[in-house]
Amino acid sequence: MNTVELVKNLCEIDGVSGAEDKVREYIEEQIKGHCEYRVDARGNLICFKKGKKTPSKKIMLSAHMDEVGFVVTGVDEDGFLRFSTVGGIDSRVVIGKRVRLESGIPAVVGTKPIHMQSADEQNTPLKISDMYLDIGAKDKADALESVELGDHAVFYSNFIEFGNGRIKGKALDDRAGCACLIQLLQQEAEYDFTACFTVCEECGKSAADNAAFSVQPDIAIIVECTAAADVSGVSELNQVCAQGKGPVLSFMDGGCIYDRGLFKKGLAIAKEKNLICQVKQGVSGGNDAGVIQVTGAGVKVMAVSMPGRYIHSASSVLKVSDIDATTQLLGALVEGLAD
Amino acid sequence: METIELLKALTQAPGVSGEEDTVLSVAADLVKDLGETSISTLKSLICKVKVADPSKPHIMLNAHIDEIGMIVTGIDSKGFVKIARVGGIDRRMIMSTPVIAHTEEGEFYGVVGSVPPHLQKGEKKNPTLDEVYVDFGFDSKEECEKHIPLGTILTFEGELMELKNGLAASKAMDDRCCCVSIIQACRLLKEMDTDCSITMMLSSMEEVGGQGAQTAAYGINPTHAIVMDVTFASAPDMSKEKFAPIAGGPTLSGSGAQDSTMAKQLMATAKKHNLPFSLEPSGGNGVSGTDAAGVVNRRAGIRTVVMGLPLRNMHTPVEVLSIADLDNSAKLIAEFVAEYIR
Repeated sequence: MNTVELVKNLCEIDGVSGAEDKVREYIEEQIKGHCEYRVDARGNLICFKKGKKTPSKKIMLSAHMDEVGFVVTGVDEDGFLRFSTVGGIDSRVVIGKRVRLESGIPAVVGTKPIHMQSADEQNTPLKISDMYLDIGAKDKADALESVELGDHAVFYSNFIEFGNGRIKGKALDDRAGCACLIQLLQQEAEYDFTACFTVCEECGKSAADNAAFSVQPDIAIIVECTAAADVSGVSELNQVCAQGKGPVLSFMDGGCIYDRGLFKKGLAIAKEKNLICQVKQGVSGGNDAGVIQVTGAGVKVMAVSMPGRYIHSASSVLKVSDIDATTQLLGALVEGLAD
Repeated sequence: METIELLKALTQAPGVSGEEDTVLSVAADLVKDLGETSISTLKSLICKVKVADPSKPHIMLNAHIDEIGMIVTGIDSKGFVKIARVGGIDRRMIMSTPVIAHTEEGEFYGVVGSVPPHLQKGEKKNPTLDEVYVDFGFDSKEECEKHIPLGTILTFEGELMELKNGLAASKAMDDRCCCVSIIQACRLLKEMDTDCSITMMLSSMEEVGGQGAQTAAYGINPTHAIVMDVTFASAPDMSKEKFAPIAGGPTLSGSGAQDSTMAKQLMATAKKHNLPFSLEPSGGNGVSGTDAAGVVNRRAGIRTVVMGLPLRNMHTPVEVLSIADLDNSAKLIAEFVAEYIR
């Protein structure tokens, strides 16, 4: 299976934080026979890959399986559903979009037509609490035949290949990271490593530290998507990272200060092996590194991310060459950081 | 063809105001068995469903075939595309919306982007069309302009999706859904006993001023006209007191410049045949905002009535309606014509 096919299959599975089961089942099918694996109490999938050699330092790779989404919180008398977000979603990318409910039925996020909006309404973003889902229900009882309070929903989005080697879909953050780890597990490994597919990264109570607690690594590499602002009207200094320039190495972000030695070693390994990579120009965002770093007696962490545009929307965009370059760099890091 | 199949075929064909060609050819093909078809100077589709003696009444059945969209106005140095609106694009829902560019080379997918959140200063607001761009995934200006020349037309991506209870969501329901009702009405009338001339006219450019309908009506020169267009349906932020329900049939009013006799006859027809309708609480002159405004005062005047099809989320890629409303509208038009216009 090529990278695009694998990422497409992963993105098309629905797995809002706390409900990652179907994603995990798919990953298990892909890695079966390539490694030893188990599922821990919170639902992390922990995979041990036996290499030709055992490194002196234990390396853990981590990517999260969950995606941002929605949860149904109420039904009104006319059968319209009220909802909240699970994870950080800008309310402006929700209105007028389609979603798929847990039961498989589609819904649209309704809006007052432009003809009826005041100038102030056009300017001011609508709050999620003022939006509603329309499933076509006649009334409350009819709606409750198709949906229960607490049901999840995800962005409904066609996975599309477009432009110069790019893909668009929901949940690229972080199914693309999952794809990198799957491909590494499927290959022969020079050195042992542990790959963790984690849950609940997006909902603010990540389980990545629980995985790290049992794995007890010396080094953890967090494989993520980070927001690329290499877009119209943004200067090069403000773009954070750019698509087509390979994986992004971070020195610091909102979640932690990465291990300085690993950061520098990572850059050196990429240079030595002639692999492209870029340094994140900025300290915005955060990922599972923050919680993994303080697990047990402490873990040295580094982040290797793919530059993603419009992440946490129905139309997140990645460049395929960046995904492949990330997998390659991760392979080189597992070898290069072993001793 | 089933109503839903017709609706799929027509909503999914691109046809932004001024560039209706693709949807026109789809529609022409769908109605070719109903009568002689032609395309007017400003690209409206005309189909002569029944041609009677010129002394008899002549009714024109109209819906507009154009849809709102966007047009490429510039490409920046990185290969991102600047756009302007064609018709009333709602900027509240524009962020991260998937779009399709239609060029001679084919279709290109893109995503509407705007300034990333971490670079926004002050309070969050909805971007204006000037502040957004379309990302077609190209890496340079040269690469982009090779495929997406200036003036390229964009539509929303918005496949037809069936909801519960015979409701459906799609882009371009406005006003392809009424085209479907008009086509189905003509199909019924083709088999019914009538004595008048019947012309179907699917107009261009309604969303940018109604130039298509007024010129086509001049050429057709009917005595009567029914103009069908979408109307606002009630929703949580659209009160039931002011707006029509979905699945309650088409709306009628006969107010203002509309022909009140025709409206009353339509209501009588609905009651006689047990077809649902709602009263349109429209103010103003009763025709504004639809092609009826340009039809009613053509030549020496045309007796014109407006039928509204209740639609939620108008001018978004998720316009929602009831399929039953389309079928009931078609039946109502056909029975009315056969009884009152003859």
